[in-house]
Amino acid sequence: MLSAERIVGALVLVKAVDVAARGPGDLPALPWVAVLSLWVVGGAGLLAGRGGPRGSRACWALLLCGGAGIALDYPLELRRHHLVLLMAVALGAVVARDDRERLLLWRVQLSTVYAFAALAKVNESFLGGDVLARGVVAAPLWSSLLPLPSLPLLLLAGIALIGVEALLAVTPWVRRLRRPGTAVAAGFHLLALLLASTSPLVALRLVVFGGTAVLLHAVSAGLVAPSASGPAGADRPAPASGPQAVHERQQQVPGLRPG
Amino acid sequence: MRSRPVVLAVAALQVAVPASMLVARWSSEGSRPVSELPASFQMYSAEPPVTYTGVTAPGGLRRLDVAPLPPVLRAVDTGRVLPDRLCARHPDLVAVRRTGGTEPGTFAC
Repeated sequence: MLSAERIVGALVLVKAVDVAARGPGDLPALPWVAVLSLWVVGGAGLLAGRGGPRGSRACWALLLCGGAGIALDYPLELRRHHLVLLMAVALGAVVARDDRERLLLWRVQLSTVYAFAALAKVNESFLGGDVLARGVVAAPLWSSLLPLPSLPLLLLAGIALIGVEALLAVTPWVRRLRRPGTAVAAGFHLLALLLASTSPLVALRLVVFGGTAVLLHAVSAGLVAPSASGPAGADRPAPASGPQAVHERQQQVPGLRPG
Repeated sequence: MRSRPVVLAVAALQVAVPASMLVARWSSEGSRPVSELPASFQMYSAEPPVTYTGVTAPGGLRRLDVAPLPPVLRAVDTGRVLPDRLCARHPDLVAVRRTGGTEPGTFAC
């Protein structure tokens, strides 16, 4: 079955293209190769999905180390939220003992991302519309099709954007909203990709960020298994087994009595 | 089933880091932020500073302060909304010049 680990592994390799394209940055060549290797080996290991829980944990740990190295190499990377999100996902996977704990940490991370994205936008700079206008003007695809939206439209779009992000912060915690939330998140990040891709590298980073966020929504909704060894919907109570459970099930079925 | 302390600590860290970054930005940059802090998830929430300069009839220039204008409206850096308000507020101006932002330019009063 498709697991979050494999998908994160693929996204990590996409991010590796970004790092490789930029070269050593502030690091000497050899440490840079080591950092990139940690990142690539961790991602490839997750994508391969072999080695069981221990192998998977080792791959997540490699990702954390590689991510820290990338952040040290390019200090601006900590302002690029896709790397921070991937590292937070890796930290959750390293710390968690089982899928239930992993799911808890990933949900907290997901809510944190959207909640603070929404809260940070409640300011005059964003509500004034220029942030959105700049995004529209700078995105070649969008600006070639449409003129700059009018001011009321920009203001409404800004408020709507904050509302969608606030909603996506809540959906992982409400069982009935998890699947619709995944669909909304997928549409939202696809739109962001179309509107905010100002260059191939920016598009690649938006794919990594949006892909990770939508994946966490899908894991939260039980559509994707959190780990290669665990089933989807890991937070549902596992069916009990043993004589006591059989007795309890028989008690629940009308007309069936223990023999 | 209760979560282990280390899991709760990581969860608290996940929230505390961006929360502290948000507080730090509010305290240093106020309601018109110009930067996005690290590990804060403040993406697409700030804009580089935009400045307004008034042009007087003899050709003089003076920096205009938008702070006295109504909140949010003073941050609208597209179209003529802000230049028109500044013209009305300073009758001696013949034009308002906007530097930075999406639509820089000179707007006649």
